[in-house]
Amino acid sequence: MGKEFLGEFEELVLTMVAALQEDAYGAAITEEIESRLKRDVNLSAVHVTLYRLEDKGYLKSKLGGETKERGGRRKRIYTVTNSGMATLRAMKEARVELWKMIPQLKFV
Amino acid sequence: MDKPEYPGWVLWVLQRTCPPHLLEEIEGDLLQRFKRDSSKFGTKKARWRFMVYGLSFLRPGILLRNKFSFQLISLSMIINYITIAFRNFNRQRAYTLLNIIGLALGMTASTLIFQYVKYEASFDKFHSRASDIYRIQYNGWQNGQLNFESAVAVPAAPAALKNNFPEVEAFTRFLPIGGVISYDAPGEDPVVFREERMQFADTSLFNVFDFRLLKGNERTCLKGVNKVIIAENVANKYFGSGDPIGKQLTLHRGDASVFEVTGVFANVPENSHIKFDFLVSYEIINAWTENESETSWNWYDFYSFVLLKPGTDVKSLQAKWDAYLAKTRAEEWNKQNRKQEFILRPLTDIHLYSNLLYETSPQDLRDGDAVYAVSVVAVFILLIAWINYINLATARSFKRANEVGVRKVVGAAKGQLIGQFLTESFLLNISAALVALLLVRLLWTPFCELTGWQIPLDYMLAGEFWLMVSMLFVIGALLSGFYPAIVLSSFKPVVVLKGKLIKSSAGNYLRKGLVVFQFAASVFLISGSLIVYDQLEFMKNKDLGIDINDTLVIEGPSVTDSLYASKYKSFKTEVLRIPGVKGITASTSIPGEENYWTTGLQRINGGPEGANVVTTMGMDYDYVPQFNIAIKAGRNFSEAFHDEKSILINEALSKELEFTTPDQAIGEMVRHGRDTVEIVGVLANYHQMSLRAKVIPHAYRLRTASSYFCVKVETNDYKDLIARLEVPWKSFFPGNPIDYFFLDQFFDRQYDRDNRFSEVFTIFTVLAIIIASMGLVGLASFMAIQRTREIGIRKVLGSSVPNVILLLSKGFMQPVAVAILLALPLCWWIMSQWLQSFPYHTEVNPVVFLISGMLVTLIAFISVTSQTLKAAFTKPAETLKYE
Repeated sequence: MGKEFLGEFEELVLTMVAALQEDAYGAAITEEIESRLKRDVNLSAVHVTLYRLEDKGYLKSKLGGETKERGGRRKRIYTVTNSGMATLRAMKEARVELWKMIPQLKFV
Repeated sequence: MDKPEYPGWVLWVLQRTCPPHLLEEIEGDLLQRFKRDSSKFGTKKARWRFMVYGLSFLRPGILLRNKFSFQLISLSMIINYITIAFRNFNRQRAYTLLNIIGLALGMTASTLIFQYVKYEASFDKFHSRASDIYRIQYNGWQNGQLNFESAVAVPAAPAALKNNFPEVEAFTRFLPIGGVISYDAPGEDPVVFREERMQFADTSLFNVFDFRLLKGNERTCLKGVNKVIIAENVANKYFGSGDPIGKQLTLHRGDASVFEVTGVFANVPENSHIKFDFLVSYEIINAWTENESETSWNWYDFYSFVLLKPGTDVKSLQAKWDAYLAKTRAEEWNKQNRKQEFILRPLTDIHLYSNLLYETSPQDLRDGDAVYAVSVVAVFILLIAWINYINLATARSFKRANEVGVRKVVGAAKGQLIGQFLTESFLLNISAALVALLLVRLLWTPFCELTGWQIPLDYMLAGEFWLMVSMLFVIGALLSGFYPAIVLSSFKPVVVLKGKLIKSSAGNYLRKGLVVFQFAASVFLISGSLIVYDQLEFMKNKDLGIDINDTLVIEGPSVTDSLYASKYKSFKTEVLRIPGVKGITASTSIPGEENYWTTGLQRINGGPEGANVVTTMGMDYDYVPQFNIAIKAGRNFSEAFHDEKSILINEALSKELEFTTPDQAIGEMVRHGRDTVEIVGVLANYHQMSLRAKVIPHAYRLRTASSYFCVKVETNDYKDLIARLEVPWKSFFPGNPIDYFFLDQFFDRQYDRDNRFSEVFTIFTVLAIIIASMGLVGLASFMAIQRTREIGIRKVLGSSVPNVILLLSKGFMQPVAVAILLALPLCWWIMSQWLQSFPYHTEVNPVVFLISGMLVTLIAFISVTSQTLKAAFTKPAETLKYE
């Protein structure tokens, strides 16, 4: 595995895909980010990020079922690949390591 | 089904831009989101968000994913087009060079000309409300006849217009003056200059115009008498770096008056028709003339401007104004059997279309038709250059027929072939455009110097300039590339690959037609410039009726006093003693300068009713003999008579006063202003102004004038003469700078712009014919190569070299002959019209057409034979040995 780094937003989207499992597609991810993080997200930004992550091999996708509310259009369901999972985990561990370096705050 | 509430066009855009494999989910997500949004925020906001989200998919991260479909192919095709184009250029370097040079020259010439036209058309447009500003033109009618059309009007007219018509927002007036200005700094030598660019004006000018005041108060700077505001450069001239505000300037003009500088304005832009360096408060002239300069309906010396409310219908205002004048002025007019017209003329038309009496700087005005005629020349040159490309490209089509055939067999679509040829034309045109840009930059200054056109170099930085250059380039590339591209791409592969010669008679005719156009344009330009030259020579060489040669003019002293008459007499005696001086005469005006002195003149017995307004000049006894003006009847002023109560008139005036012969006028009494005087002589008509103007009725009175001293000289050593003249000048008229010039040069200055116009016309004519013959050279060389084998066979069979040349040249000389036959009558007709616009003009000389016809034939023949000669001399053995 090469030394790929993820941007903040990329990491966020990747995490969301991992979390949402079978329901990970553009509109759902956007909604989740908006409702959980209270952060305004542009739909197209999420899409672009998904495509980029797929290019990097962290995600794979397949076309899922169509629903009426989507005007008969199918969803593209994303799942995290092994290398995506490994990167996510590596990043989390790196974070934890860094957290440990912060001196414990003592409350007097 | 219910109608979609979302803006469908967003999806339409996405369908055309997004990669197909991504489209479905993008649309789906968008729609899903729209549903959610509309329940959350309502339909209106949801629609807005739908649009924003939808359009934000037009981002590189999405669009570039398209490349797998078709962009990649087209990109590589374009690269291939370019490669092929360069191979082609390289294979035929001479031809490519010929094309680039021709196109570049055409673009350079037309760019320069268009910039010039833009400059001339920009006059007075820098005022923010230029299109609402009008100048009042004054037409004077006498006895039902139009007497004069003048650029200056009476001061009461603009005021009456403003006071009676709500459409008029503001008005302003200028009254020109001139004189010597001095600044007497305490403890230093006085700074003295003669200044001509001076006007009386008041602060209303800032309401009408956009002239900028840099220092001082716009509303108060010209309030009160003896205030002056000056231009920046004048401030530097007189005061250096010191602050001019509050300083005192003295105007010497008869009596000296002292002005206080109350403001400094930005230099008047070059493209203003009215130019001034000094504005003196109008209240002075009111004080001097007891308010005549506010109320007079007779004194016409005032440039009057009005600012109309935006959107005013000028025609209906003019009609109302005419009616108003007819009502209120009729009584006055009837007394003198005259009529006054005050016509509103757009400010922006003055520079190109105004040619009235007393224009503020007539030598700077342009003839709009001539300016646009030059742009026609520019278009001609461009067309000629483009035609060259078309002709050469189609002529060469033979050479590329095989290439086209093979390409088609291999599978090239017609569109791709067109793309190939258009690419070539674009590349050629863009190289030409780059060369042209370089040339324009290099030639800008010399071109301005040569033509006397002042085109600000900033124009090159303007967006418009680049837009124009790119337009020239794109139009040129399409226009010249399209036809060849279509011709070439329509070859049928089976036919061309069989080796059949393509003989497209339609193409041939078109090519010949275009050559006809090119040479018709050339013939037209040559004959045109010859006729322009002819007319100029005619004007310059025609006998003026007055001998202005060998005359040195000294501008009269501005600082004078009551002893002037006796001083002048002594000065004259001194001057006549100088060796080389044949005579000296003082007058109020000189040939080449418009006479501003106008007075009413009326016969006591008989003659037309009412007073004619007549230009008058004051002069002494020596004026008529020294200038060698013929006397038709009677005599000159003479010291032997008491000629203070006498008047001389010219033939034109004698006719206007209804004398059947000049002799009849002698001894008749006339009222001239307030005097009753006797006509003692009738002078032959002579040209006071250039031959562009008609000889107008003129009267002459005896005066000891102080405006100009004309010294008739006969010497080669002018330097010495002027040094000798300065001695008595300084002793009799101290404090006056001595300014002098030669009368013939001064007079000929009126033809400056005509000369320049003729030169420019000639330059571009030469350019046009060079480009046209370049095209012919290219065509001829191509044909010669094409027919090498034919020539070989002909020579083997006994053809001689002249025969071959004749054969080859015939095809080219025919269109040239047709061009000449077409162009000459057209040119004859148009140039005759042009000549009619001069009151004194030559006739179109048929020799001109002979010359231009022969010249063009010769040039064409040389271009063609230079190429065919080689082919004709080639030994048949060399061309046929491969058979």
